[in-house]
Amino acid sequence: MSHSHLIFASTGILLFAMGFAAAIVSQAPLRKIIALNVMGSGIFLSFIALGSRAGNIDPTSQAMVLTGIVVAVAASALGLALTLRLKTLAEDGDE
Amino acid sequence: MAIDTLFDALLAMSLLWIGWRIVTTQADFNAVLLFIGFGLLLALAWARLAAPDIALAEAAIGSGISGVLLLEAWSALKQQTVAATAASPLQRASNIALLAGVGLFAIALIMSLFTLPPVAITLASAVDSQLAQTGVSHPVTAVLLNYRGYDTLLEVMVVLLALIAIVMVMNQPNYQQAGVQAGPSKANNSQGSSVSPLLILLAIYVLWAGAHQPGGAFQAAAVLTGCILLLGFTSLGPTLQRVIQQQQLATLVGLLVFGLVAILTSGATPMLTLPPAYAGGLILLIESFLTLSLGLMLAGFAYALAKPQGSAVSKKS
Repeated sequence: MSHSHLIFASTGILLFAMGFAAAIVSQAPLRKIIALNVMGSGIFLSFIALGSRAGNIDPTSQAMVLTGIVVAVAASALGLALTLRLKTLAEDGDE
Repeated sequence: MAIDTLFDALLAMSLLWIGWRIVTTQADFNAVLLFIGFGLLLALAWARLAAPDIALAEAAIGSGISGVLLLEAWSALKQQTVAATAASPLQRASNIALLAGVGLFAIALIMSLFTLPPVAITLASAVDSQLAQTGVSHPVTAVLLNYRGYDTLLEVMVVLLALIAIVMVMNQPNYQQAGVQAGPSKANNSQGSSVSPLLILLAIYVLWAGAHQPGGAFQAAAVLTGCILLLGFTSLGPTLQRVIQQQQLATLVGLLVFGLVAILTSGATPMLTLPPAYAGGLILLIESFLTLSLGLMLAGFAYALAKPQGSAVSKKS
């Protein structure tokens, strides 16, 4: 495995760990969603770095990550919508 | 230890540092802005890993569109008074235990990188061996639209489901209505409308380029979304809004065309096995409609999350 692949695979693991811990520890839903995105990016990074560690570029793993990025945005958007709805419900409850 | 390794190490450290700042910064707004920057830096990492398709998608979708959505959510949430509850001793202890556990897990995973078995299968050669039959010459597009077309079909369904769920959650029957804050004063009118033809041209180019070089439907869709959102701020906004509203079918047409191809090709062979003679044309057909639909769906996310004109307070009175 080349240095680059090792570096980015380790970076991905550390990003995953950071995002995972932050998603649990942080209290605001917005911050949880951002943390989940950091976590996902870490997975994608390790996935691609390990997928091409033999030296050749693997189009299959790249296509999977492309799909993953789009799905991650869709999931984040749904999470944000739920967060906003939760806020309006809380406001209605207060008044 | 060449200069490119040094560059990769610096890039990796920047990513980790920004990642750390994202999760530790106090202000939510900082976290959102840092996340946008993080996406752009990550795009550089994708380029270093010889994945230009992902670099484009990351910059346009992962950083750009996610950024728009996060900023919208932040602006709707910012009035919320953050009740910073002091962590109880028990909570504090469990947090420290969690961090220790996650840290150990990460160290174990990184150590395992040094003892990985040699690569047993390389899919790249399998992809290359049949590439001539797929109708396109860019391997990533071949995987997305031909070898694994089924995955992409389901992915578009997931995006559509997310959009439907969001529209339902936000309780806005016509999600386009609430979105663009109408009024020509919002942004630089002439700039928005003069740039949009170029953006549409760029989207078509990116789509076309996908057949033989990095690019394709997802990246083109992101450009289209940017164009729609930009036009929303100009005097054309209300008109565009009305047109999109009346053309709900356009959001579905990508899935419909894709599904139709799936049904037509589901004879003797497994579903979505494209006949080599027509594969190139079919992929272009699917991708064109996918670009339109995905662009509208991603813009639909942004519209749905945008702050409605009538706020909760005025609704009550």
